[in-house]
Amino acid sequence: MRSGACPLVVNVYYRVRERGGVRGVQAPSIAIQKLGENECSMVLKGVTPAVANALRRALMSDVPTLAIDEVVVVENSSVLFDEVLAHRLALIPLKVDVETYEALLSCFEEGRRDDCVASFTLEVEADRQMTVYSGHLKFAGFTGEFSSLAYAEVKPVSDIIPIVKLAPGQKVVLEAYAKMGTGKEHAKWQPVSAVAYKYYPKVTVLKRECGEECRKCAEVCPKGVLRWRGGALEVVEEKLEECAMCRACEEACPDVVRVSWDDTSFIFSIEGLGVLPVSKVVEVAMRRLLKRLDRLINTVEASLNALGGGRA
Amino acid sequence: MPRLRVSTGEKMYKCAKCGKEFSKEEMEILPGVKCPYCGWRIVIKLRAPTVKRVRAI
Amino acid sequence: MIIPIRCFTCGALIADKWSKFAERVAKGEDPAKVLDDLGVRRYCCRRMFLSHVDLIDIVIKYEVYTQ
Repeated sequence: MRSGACPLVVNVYYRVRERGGVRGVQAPSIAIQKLGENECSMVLKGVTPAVANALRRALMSDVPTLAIDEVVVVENSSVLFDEVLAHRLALIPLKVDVETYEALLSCFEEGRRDDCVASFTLEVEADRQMTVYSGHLKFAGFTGEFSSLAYAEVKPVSDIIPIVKLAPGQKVVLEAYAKMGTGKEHAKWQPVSAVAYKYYPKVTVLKRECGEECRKCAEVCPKGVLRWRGGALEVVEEKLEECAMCRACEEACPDVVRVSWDDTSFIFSIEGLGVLPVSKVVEVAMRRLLKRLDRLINTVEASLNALGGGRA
Repeated sequence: MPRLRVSTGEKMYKCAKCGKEFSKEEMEILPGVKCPYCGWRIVIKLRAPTVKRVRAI
Repeated sequence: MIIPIRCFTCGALIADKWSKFAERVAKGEDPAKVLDDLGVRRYCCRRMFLSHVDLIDIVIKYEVYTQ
């Protein structure tokens, strides 16, 4: 388990404090509990639900990625319409290495999304019944200023995503162009699938020595958070974070267990699509969120100054 | 005026029976929608021979 | 028609797991177990598999005008 304050969150906090501060705000921190290539779970402490939700929304809809946005169909005698084919191509998650991603990101943030385009070709003719897979897509390089990125390669996250099935003699020939965009515009640009958070649960046993009838309080819990052992009821600490706060235990034993939560701590779980490492997705989301907060503060200050008042 | 004209249009139809391709003008040789070669009345309209640009949404 | 690329609800990639799922279920395995093995946990993604009918296999048979 890695623990410690995330520099970006702390940064937000200090900036808020510098500008007068907000009463009752403590320094936020993040403790990462599990971090894989495609999944991450962490505990976010010292924030309001609004902050947690802002992060969730930034992760889903404000992290730019690459996705096929335009398709030039030369030939398509398959049973799917050109539009359906294009739609399916668009939804294929495309993987980029972090270095190339940074270059694409700055290109996108400068508002030149048509300058950072990755092109693909797909050319398949069936001699017997076959499936066209994402592996048949050939990366044909970047166009424009990115054509110098010869080492960079963009490819589908998986090579076995079926695009269409062809009968003998059918043919699909097309070119596809992938552009940068955000999930706000279209879900194909989302870098993550499920992002969710919940309050940090607090389960308290009010009456430890309650005898045999308390066995059912433990048995009723679907996540195994409570344990009945040797005539006493106890909370299984390592399972506490799995508590869904369903209150089944409270219902079974009204005066023995109490379920509540800490509304300044959140258990956050993020599932990536393999487009970028989740750690990178979180970093970019925070960076973009921070930029927007800066813009907001500056706008508010500017309009206050325009009114002739001093600092807020 | 001769009934039979030489076709200048593109071959945009195809007979579902004999598989021959023909243009609109050629089809109009016979009254109604019919294959000018075999008279079959099920005709397929072929895909235009142009490149099509689609937004992937 | 053909398995959707992503889950309608959460957006997770599902299409790459279809062929394995279809193959194993056709052999008589329990779909719930196959989905667990494939790592499809959420019920939004699971219903994508359970409710899908691969109609494209049937449609393709009628594509005979190519000769």
